[in-house]
Amino acid sequence: SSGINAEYGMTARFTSCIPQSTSMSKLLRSEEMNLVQIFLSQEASYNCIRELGELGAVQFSDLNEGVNAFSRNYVSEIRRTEEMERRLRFFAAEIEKEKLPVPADYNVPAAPNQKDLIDLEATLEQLEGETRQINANQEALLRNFYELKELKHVLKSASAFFQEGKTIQKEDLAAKRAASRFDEEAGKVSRHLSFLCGVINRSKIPVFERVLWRASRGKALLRYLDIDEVLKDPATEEEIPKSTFIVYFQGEQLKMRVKKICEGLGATTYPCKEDWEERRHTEEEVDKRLGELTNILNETKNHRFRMLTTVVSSINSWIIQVRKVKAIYYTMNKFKKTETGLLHAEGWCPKCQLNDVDRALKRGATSAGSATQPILNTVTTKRTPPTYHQTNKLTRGYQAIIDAYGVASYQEINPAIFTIITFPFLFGIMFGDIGHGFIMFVAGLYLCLKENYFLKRLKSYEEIFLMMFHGRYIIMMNGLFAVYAGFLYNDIFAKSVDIFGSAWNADLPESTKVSATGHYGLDPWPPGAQYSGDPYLFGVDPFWNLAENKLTFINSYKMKLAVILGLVQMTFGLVLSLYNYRFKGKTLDVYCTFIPQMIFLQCIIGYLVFMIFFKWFTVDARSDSQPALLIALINMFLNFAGEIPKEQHLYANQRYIQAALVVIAVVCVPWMFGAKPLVEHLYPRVRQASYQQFENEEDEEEEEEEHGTMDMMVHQGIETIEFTLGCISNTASYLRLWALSLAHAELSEVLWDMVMKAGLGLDINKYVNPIGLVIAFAFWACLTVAILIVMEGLSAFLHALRLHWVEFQKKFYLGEGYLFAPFSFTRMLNGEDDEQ
Amino acid sequence: IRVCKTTYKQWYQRRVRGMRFCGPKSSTCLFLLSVWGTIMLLLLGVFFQTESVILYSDIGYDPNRWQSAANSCYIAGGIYLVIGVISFWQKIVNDRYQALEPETTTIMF
Repeated sequence: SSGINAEYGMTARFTSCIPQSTSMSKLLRSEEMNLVQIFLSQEASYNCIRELGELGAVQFSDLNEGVNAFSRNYVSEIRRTEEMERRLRFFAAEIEKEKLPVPADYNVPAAPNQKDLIDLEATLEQLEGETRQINANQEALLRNFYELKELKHVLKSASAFFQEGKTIQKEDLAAKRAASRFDEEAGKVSRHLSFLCGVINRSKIPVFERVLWRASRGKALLRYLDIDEVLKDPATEEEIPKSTFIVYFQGEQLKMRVKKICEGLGATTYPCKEDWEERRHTEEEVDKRLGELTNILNETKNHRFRMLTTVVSSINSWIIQVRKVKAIYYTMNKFKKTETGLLHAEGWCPKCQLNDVDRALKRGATSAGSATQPILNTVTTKRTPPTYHQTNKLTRGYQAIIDAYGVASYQEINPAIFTIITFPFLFGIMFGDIGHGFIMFVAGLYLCLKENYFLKRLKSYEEIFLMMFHGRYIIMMNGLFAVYAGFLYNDIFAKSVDIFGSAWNADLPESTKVSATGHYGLDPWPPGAQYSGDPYLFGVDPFWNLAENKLTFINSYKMKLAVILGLVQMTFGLVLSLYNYRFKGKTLDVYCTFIPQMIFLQCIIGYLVFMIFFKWFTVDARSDSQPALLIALINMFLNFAGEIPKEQHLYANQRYIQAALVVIAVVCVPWMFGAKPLVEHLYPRVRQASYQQFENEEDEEEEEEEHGTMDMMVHQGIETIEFTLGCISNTASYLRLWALSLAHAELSEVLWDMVMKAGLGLDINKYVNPIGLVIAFAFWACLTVAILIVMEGLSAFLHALRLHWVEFQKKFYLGEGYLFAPFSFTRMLNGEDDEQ
Repeated sequence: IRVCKTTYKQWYQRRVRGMRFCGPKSSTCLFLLSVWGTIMLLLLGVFFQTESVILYSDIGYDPNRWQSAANSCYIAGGIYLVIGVISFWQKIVNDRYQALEPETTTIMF
């Protein structure tokens, strides 16, 4: 149970979850969950929870909810782990100070057992004590060192001071004789002035001077010299500029005052002899001491370095172990103590993993040497279980983007399974370029092939790259489908490729009259001359790339494609709602919600799609009537059963069929709105019966609020309005498939025309042309990647996602569940656990 | 003495592993760009030489310009091939440098 990597661990664990019944596939609906009760003996509890943490299959409920954090059972153990964490943080700070490189070790250690935990605690305590002692010693030594250095500087500058001092002495004596009023004093004036020398911070010198002047009434003299060598404060290691100073004064009183001032301003005084010989002698001694101290300091530094190096190699592993232990005790705090001395735990567990949990508990009990075996009970409950989808590395990304909008309710159909293909497909429709799609595919492929390398080092990447990495399979599929759509639109870097032979022919005879604007129209009829009659085999004919009216044609085609795709996806969503109703046994909903919704959707948008296909098959450039489909749809309602003008005629008896469709659609609205509340009002037993059919469903009598008929009608009314208005607005929303592909194609074309065309069309001389082309290509490539792939890719991703979240899921998805959050070490280490 | 030590180390590294003037990221970017450039420009040159219709909007009617555009595409493709080889060499040198530095992480709480 050691070294389980995040993603691999999750795949390895689920091998026991083979579906028992083939009708329930893994990802279609969330797993069946059971509420389990576990009874553990005290001595086995730590090991059992440790095993469960590695397994990650149980989501524990907090049985001690009202209890204060400080009065729980295992508070003292948690305090001990926090003390260990504090020690580890201390080591981290010391390592940071020394700037030691931390060797990378990607193995995840297992949580220690209780004996190893005590050993770890002792090791950390001892190491911390040693380190603190070394630090204290070093500080004291440094303090001594700097004091000796200051003394050396004082001794050096003393000679300079004394030179000055002799002249001052002479001047001062003369002044004193002149100014002295008392003969006694004049007689008692000694030939020498007293002095005091030392070292002071440079910043404090002005203050020092002023205070001395005031205190001595001008009779003390201060001289100072800056110290060149930078001295550091031993405790904080900051550099403080200092100066040596000397104060001349007379008399004992002044001496006391000066000493007090020095103390007050943090200046240190050093004894200094006037005699030059003695000073030299002291200086030599100081030098010797400094040499000894330097050696001792270096040895201390080396010792500290060696200690920290031994710590550095295991510190990450210790941190992980301590975090795991803390998680175990936090979990154990959720358990209740029974009267018999057992611990009682409760939690959710997927049904397919019950055996795994049982085995893990037995393993834990045996490793703890406990006599009593842990007991695992399944309990029936009324609470809604959490939603748990089993995913592998491919499906995890898709499940994540679906869960971002709303987690599936317990055991409803999971849209993520369909999203695996529909999302890249819609993305491709909006992106649609062979070249850009290929680059995206290659990028995704690279991330997928090198995923082991990235998975090991996940924590060392920034968030944006991590987002792209977790979506690597999505990116790869998107690129693949974009290449397919690129073949459909016949668009590679804004140019078309002619693979199957174009059906158009622009070889004009010499005598052709070109119009005044320089345009010439190619006529598709009769076939054979300019249009061969056999359309291009797959995709848009490459000739359209050169046509002036390319957009007119392509826009119509893409818009119709968007509406068709929209109808298909929305119908599919409605059908999924049918499956959901049948799974929950809500037959009333089938007849009163699903059927009218389906009929309404098909009568309006289904009919529009039918008209699109009919027009494609029957109408061409030669036809008399070229009906506009949207006008037809609008007039279906506004000009109800009215005469259809000849140019808008699509098929025989169109007015009557359209009138019938409108009538059916309008009838569906009150059906959607009123049928269900009416039936539930008249036959309340129907409501109860439909709920009983669902196996695990709780008895809804107590939990169900009093649904009056009015409440039901309001609810149904809101749903009806949402659905009917949504039919039109959601279909129109699918037109973004057209809009984004148009934007992409246009941007791509503009980029080529502005950048590459300039490079290709350079005509200066044959040496400069290639250089210009090299530069133009570099620009074009960078802008293609930055704008067309990254920016447009993100945009298409977002819009495809929105189409799924809103237009598709509104038809069937409830999304009111909560995620299964098991107690798992890998989840906690990845930061997915939001309890602590 | 310290200054001398660093330059000696650099000189030694250069002798053993090869000189590098691009970092790991820029050599990879330049390599990918030149692979793309080589393939695309050589293909474009072929399309210009065969006077493919799609490229009409870039060049126009004059047949001389088609050939000169094809030539400049080939030469530009060749230049990108050279750049590609240089950046691939730089990638190899960068890999050698990286192999010798042990991988380090940070302390993560």
